[in-house]
Amino acid sequence: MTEFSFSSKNKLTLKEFEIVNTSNYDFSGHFADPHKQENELKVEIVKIEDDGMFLEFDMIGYDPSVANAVRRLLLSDVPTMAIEKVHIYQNTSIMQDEVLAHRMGLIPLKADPRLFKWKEEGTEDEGTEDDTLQFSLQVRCKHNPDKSSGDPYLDNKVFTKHLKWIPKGSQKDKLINPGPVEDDILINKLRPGHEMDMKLFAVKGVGRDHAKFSPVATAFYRLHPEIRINRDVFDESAIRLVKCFTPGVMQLEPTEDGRKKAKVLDARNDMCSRNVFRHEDLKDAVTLEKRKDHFIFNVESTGAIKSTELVPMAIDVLLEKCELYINEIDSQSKE
Amino acid sequence: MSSLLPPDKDGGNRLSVLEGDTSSGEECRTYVFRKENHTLGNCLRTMLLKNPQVQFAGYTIPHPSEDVMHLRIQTVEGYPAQSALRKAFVDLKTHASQLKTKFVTAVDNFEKEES
Repeated sequence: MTEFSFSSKNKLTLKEFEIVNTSNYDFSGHFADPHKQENELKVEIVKIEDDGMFLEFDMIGYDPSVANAVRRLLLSDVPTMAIEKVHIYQNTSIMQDEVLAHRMGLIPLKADPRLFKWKEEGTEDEGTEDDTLQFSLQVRCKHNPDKSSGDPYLDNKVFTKHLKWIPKGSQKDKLINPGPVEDDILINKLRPGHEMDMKLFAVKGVGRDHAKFSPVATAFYRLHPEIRINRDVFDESAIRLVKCFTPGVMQLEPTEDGRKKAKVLDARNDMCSRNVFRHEDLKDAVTLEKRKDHFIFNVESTGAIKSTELVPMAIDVLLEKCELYINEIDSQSKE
Repeated sequence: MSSLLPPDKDGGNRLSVLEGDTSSGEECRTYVFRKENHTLGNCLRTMLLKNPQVQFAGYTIPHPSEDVMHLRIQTVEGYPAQSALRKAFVDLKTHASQLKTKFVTAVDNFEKEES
């Protein structure tokens, strides 16, 4: 019995040595769908975990250029606050000044960048209450006078909890605890006699400028896999076939005559290892495909802003860019 | 609440036309975008190709060390390339707004179902 698959044009096929049908057929004059109907475009939330910091959602029916734009915007164009200038008054530890300053910049801060203005170039490091956050780090390591406890030193490990926020102006009324996201990030190790005394200034920036300003731990997408069984596989072969895929993707189901048949349960979690091609007799039993217009996004925030707010912010950046260029076109055409 | 886009230190226009390309008429143009990359380029190209009056649309980043993107548009007789570009931006804006609304609605529904 032949099977007609009308949706073959929007699936790419994973063969043993190649991937076929990857191109998008986007050249002018090709109008399979000039503007997709709005109801064919869907966004579905799958998972929100970790108090909103981890998000998994699906974009269905969209063009890969838009999905990629969202991913790129999340990584490089959504602003965050991070430490930019470090004034080191005392550093007798083993870590060099510049290495220490670099580490301070990478510490994720809880401050909401939307409450701050962009800092102008060339202004002094101290900054104003609208564009700078100031912290201070003062730690000195001493011998532990209490000989009985296991730790011979006091304050030998410098953690982010040692960072103290110095509120400027009216910041103490507007901000609640804009310090580091995690208290137990290890910054430096000291021994008795070592001292660290620094002032840290955090400003607003974007990931394009420096990766420390990226608001996401990472944001990525993958295409939704699809597994089609071409011929039924039973018993021992079926067990091998099920093992080829990520656990939970395929399953054995009992048939009427007591045998076990392999069946696809949910292809979504398959990691597309193409393991099935290692078995000569099972190669032709399945067809591995991916849906070209179904993007499974994973967005994990560093902690400043929830992932569910980061995605709309990324789209807002795109909207602002469009607005900017429309205005430029209009003003240029008036000249 | 200040703008999400960082201020442009260099000033001037971020969009200009490639020199010497205006001789073939209004229907062919290469636009030069400063401080833009694939994020905007690929989206614009997709929107342009959906316009039936656009005969050619392509973008390139001439050198990765320079933050510049070129977008080439060729249209049918009588339809200026600038109109095609403006329409592409407007379409992209609509498309992105719809995406944002769908996303925000989906999050609200998900959170309502959770509680």
